[in-house]
Amino acid sequence: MKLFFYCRTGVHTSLITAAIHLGWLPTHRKVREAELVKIPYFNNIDYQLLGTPIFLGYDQFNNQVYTFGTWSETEVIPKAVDSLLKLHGVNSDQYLLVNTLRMENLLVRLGVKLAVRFKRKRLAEALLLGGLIKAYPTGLDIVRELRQTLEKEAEWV
Amino acid sequence: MKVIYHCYGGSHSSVTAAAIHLAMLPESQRPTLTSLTEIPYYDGQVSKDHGIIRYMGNDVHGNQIYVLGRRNTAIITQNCLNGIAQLFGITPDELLLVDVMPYVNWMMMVGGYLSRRMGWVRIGRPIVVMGTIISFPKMVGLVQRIRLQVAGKGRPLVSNYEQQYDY
Repeated sequence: MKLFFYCRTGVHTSLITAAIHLGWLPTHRKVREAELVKIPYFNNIDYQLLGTPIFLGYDQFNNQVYTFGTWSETEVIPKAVDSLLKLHGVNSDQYLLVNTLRMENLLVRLGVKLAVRFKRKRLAEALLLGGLIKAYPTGLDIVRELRQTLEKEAEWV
Repeated sequence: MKVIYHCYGGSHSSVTAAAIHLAMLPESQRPTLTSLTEIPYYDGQVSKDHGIIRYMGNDVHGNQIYVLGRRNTAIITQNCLNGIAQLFGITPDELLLVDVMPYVNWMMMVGGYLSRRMGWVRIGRPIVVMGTIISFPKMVGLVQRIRLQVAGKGRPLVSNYEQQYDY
C-alpha cells in the first residue's frame, strides 16, 4: 500500500506526521527544533515542483510513505487523485490519502506564506518551528488514528 | 489513452475543448449558444464538482476524453496527478493532462464567475458563451495539436467493415 500524507506544501505538517509514522520523531515526549530541522525536505519548498509526491521510506507495515503539497486546494486535489486512480482501476486498498491539515495553526500558516510568497526563509522557519512544536500532539493523534486503521486492515488480511 | 482537459471549473473551456476533440462541435465554424449549451456539463458544474474527473466520450482513435475542474492550481495538479500516476505504473502514454486555461478570455472568466459562483445564470451564461465563441478558433488549434499527439495511442476502434459484418 502507498500512504500519501498531504498538506499545503508537502514539506511541513505532512512531512512531520509522516516522520512520526516512520519512527523518526519521538512519540512520548516533546519534539525539539533540531529534530524537526534534521528531517529530509523540511521547509524545502520549490513552488514549481509543488504537488509532486516525495518518497520518504517504508513503514513497519511495509507501506511506501509519501508526502505531497496541495497549496490552497486542500480538497480539490485529493479528490482529483482519488478520481484519477479510480479511472485507472487502482483499488482503494492500494493507497491511502492522509489529511494533515488538522495540525496547521496560525503560526504554521504564516510561516508557509512568508517562506513561499516573500522568500523570508529565516523568519518563516522560526514561525514554522514554533507552530509545529505547538501542534505536535495533533500530529501524534493523526498518526495514532492512521495506525489503528492500518492495524485493522492488517487483521482483515 | 486518457486525455484530461482541465481548467478552473471544468465547465466551459475544458468542456468546449473536449467537445471539439470528440467532434461534438464542427471545427470549421464558430459554435452557437444552442450548440454550446447542448454539450454535457457545459456551464453545469458547481464548486462541489471540482476535483471530479468527468468522462465526455471516446475519440475516433479510441482515446478516452475527460474534463476536470481544478481551480487555480494547474501546475500543482499536473505535478501531483502525473507523479502519482507514475507511482502506480501509469505511463505517459496512458495519460495526458491538457491545461485549457491559457485560452480563456476575460469574458469567459466574468461570465463563468457570475453563472457558476454567483448562480446568476441568466446574466452569466450569455457572457461566457460569447467569450467561448471568441476563443473558439484558438481552442480548435489546441485540440488539433493534442489530436496529433495522441493519434494512434488509443485502443483502435472496430472498423466500419467489421462492424457491418459483425465478425
